[in-house]
Amino acid sequence: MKMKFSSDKEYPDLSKHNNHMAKVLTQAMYEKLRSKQTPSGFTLDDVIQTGVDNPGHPFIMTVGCVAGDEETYEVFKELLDPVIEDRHGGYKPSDKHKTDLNSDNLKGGDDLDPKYVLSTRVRTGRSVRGFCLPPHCSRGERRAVEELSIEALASLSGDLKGKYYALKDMTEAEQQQLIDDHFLFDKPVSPLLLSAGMGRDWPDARGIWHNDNKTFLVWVNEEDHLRVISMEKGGNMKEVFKRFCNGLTKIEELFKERKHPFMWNEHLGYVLTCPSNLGTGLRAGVHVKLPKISKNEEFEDILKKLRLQKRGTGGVDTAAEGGIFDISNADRLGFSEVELVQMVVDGVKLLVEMEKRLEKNKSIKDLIPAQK
Amino acid sequence: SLSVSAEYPDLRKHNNCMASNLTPTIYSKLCAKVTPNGYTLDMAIQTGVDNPGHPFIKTVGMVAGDEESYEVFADLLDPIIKERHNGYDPTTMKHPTDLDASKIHSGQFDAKYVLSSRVRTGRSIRGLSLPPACTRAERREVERVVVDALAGLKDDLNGKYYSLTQMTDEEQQQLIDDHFLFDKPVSPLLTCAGMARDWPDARGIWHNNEKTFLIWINEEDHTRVISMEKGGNMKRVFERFCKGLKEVERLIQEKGWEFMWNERLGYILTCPSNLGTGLRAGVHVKLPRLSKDPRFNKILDNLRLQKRGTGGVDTAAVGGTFDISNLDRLGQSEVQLVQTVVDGVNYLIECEKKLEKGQDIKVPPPLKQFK
Repeated sequence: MKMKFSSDKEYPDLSKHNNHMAKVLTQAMYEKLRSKQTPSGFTLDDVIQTGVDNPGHPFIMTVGCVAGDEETYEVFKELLDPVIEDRHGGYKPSDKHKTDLNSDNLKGGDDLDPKYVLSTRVRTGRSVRGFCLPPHCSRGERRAVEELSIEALASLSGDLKGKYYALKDMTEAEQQQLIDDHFLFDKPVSPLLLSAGMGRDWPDARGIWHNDNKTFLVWVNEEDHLRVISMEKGGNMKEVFKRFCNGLTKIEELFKERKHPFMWNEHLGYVLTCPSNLGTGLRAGVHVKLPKISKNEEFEDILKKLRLQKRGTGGVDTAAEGGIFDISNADRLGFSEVELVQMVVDGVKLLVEMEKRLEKNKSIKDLIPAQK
Repeated sequence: SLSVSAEYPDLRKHNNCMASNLTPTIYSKLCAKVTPNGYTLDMAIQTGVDNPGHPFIKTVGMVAGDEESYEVFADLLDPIIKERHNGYDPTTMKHPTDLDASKIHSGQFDAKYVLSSRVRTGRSIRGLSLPPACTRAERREVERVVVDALAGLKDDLNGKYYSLTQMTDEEQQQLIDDHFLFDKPVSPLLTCAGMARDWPDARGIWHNNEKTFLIWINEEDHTRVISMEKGGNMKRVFERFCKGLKEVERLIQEKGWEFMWNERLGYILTCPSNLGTGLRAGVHVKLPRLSKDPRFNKILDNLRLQKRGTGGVDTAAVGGTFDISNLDRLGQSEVQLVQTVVDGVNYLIECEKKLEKGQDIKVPPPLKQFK
């Protein structure tokens, strides 16, 4: 630990910054936490480096801190609790998070109008207990996570049977197919991720697994140990979510059997690298045609009331094309998986109804929802 | 913790000096070692692991986080240094330092050919970690120590410091127009080594009022020192260079600081490629005919010179104007290297003049590498 200089000499200049870390980290807090480190040696400076290096955007509030291991959330709770509270709509340090991966509890969701809903997708992340997270893991740890993942995924069967493609070993043909399927992920270019050390040793121990049907996909060692994605064309969220829950539950069992369960606790739910992905880590979304309602002056407000978020069809930080939007849940923590997917199902149904009204030049006033 | 073999990097697709010299045995020996500042082997080689390199350009692939890195990781750095510095053996040889500019002869080039002359080097402040590993406080201390010393420079060296965090828009524009401003590194070779952390905190530019002596603070090294002018008076450029360096050294010594230096490796800098003198003395010179001659590269090689485009490293030449500078950094003194450039550029100009008159040129015999 480098303690030669006083904390006021080490304290970062955050005067031009706009991110959650910068809002919370006072000099007094820095002084208190700078001598601490997690058992694996992750320090406060490591936690905040990405937020120091990336001052942020006046319109988009980034998180500005990451976890290097499970213990980060405990050792640096004085910083991370207020960041979590601010980012997750007032979630308190004493709050408990509910996990519900029983897709039977989802009402409806098999009837989203395919003339409007082009595709449906649910994603989350999982971390393997006992290994450091992407900002801090060694090559050996990252490889161990890969090895365990390959083993666990290899034992999936039925409609979940699939194949693993290691980034550093794939053939040109395999690579092209993964690109055409929109499955391939590349080395991160975002300075938010690179400043946090997540691009180290690329492409070592990174890879993509998917089932033969191409409806269930797992990314290994990208921004988290595992990113799990269930998707299909059309609007059958019920089916997508069922496969999601089914697959996740099976994978979780397999990791437990190998004495490396997923990182989870009753306060933070599933533990992931970025504090923004805690709880469920779940983003359930659709690509949906909303050319008229999206031009309505109340669109942003309606989304807010429905606890939904819009993105372009290229994902985060892209623009919508041809009136087609990516609509997903805004929340991650403090609501269960079922609750969040229910919000998306109900919300998208309502948006499509509004779109149809506007097509007929009818009013949508009576459809405007109350704040969820 | 996991076994050494589980941690060993996959370097099969790599082409850099680190990858050429690292073996599982060396890795095993060094992977648990730590410098007094907490810098490890994995940190030192990260840039080389992350950047496999280019089939034509062999990068170094390893950096130092502090002065002690060169001792603690000597088993890997020594062979890298030997490979990169054309056989200089740091285990047996001594590096000469000579900043007596009066020894340079014939150091004024024909201004019809030489458009500008420049000498650059770097200096590190002993006791503070280097850019890959320094904390914010250490970096700020480097800035404080150096800016304080520069404030003591007088006469033709009298100047002003522009901190990157505080410069006004006008100052920034002026520095851009003067081609003095440096920006946050974008090269993954540097960013993977952690050199852009906390940007732009404690980074800045100092230059004298005459704009002939310039210092970069906390970019790729603690300091980069540059002397330059339009035209071909390399002797005067080098005189100012030596005078400025010695003055700054004297001023920091007054306050109890010194530059990192030892007789094995000379001046200690972040990248092993800049050890010894850290010196690149160069000119922008018009050689439209010679540069088209098939013997051009061989002539440069034998003269121990290197060509670059006029935008610096990795740029192309424009209109037959080249940046010509010394190849070597370590194993010869500053005076020796500058004299090599002086002799070499004079020879190149003679060749160009001969070709103008339709006369033939000769490829000179190769210079000995270590004098």
